[in-house]
Amino acid sequence: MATRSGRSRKSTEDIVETIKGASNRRMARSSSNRAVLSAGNSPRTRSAGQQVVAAIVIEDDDDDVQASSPRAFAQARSSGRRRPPTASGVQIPEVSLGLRLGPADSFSPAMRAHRNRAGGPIVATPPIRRPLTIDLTSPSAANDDCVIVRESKAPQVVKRKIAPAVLVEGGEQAGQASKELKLTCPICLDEMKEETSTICGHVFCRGCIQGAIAAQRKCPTCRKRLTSRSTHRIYLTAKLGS
Amino acid sequence: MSTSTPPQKTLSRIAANRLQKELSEWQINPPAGFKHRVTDNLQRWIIEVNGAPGTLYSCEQYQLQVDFPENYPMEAPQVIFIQQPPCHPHIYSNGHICLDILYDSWSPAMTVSSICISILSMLSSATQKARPPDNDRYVRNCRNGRSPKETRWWFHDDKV
Repeated sequence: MATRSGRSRKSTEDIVETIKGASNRRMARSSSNRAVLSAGNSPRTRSAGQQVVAAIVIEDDDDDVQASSPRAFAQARSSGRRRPPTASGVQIPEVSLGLRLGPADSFSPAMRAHRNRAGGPIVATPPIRRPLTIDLTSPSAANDDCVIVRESKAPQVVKRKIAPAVLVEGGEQAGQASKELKLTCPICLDEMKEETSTICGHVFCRGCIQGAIAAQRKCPTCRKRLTSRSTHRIYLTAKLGS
Repeated sequence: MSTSTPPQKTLSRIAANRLQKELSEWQINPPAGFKHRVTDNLQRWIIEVNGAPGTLYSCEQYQLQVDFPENYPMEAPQVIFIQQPPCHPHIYSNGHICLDILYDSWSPAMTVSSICISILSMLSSATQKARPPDNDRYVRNCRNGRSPKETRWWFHDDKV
């Protein structure tokens, strides 16, 4: 409880700061979260909290508004306990009252309907559509798990990209320091010239595979039946850098 | 029992290059149980085979003769046992070997080394030392030094 009250106090400071500065949008968004968190459970205090949200939404007059206000709202809903009203609603008189009260009236009915729904199908109202947009850029309690997923995915992708390169380099003559990709044709046993792949994926020199198909009409590696049109030239990059 | 009909045409440049590569690879990494007898003839290799330990042919030594055609590796080499061929259900007494990869199933991606391993595997999986049932008839038909590559082989047994 101590931490919570501390947090809400901090939030009011944030709000004051943000509204004064009004430059950092992320700050504004996080402060709007906390403003709602600090809202009480009685209808009157709730509307006070919503007024705060509305005030900040107006400050943020671009697309970010969509991301911030529903999350704040969802967070407020998910936090079961409602704390008694703090001075948050009172301590921001810097914002002009006209701006604050106007949108609050227009926002309140929809939000209240959303909050009061007991399985009632409110489909077309904006509060239901909005939670689909989750803001991942600012980590908070609501989207912590999303951030973790993104972090755990990134190294895996990097590993997959690196692994084959390492394998090929190891498969080549280990003594050589050159990073050039050298392939050996299974037919002439010489360095691959004009790399050409069969439709079954086996790679040979162009001349070698053409001769092999002319002689046997099948893949030298897997014996799949082939015609002279079953091959195509492939172009491999010679460098296997990082 | 050597079929000493020498290959008629000399090796093509591609075949000679490829055989040089195979020979140098063999010298670095020869297949276990085989020894290439050094000659100056790249077109005919004589290879000593030692029966694998723990098989019917352990401690026995045989000789393979490998003749390469002009357009090797597009065409299979001719591989036969010379001198005394091993007694095996798929090896005729004239040294001819009934093994599909030497004929129909040859692939230019195969090498002398891979052929040798296949032959040793065939020897090692034998359960009894015996000649093929049609040995006498077949050898009679091959009297005048016919190449086994002219035989129409029937590959019926994939166990030995």
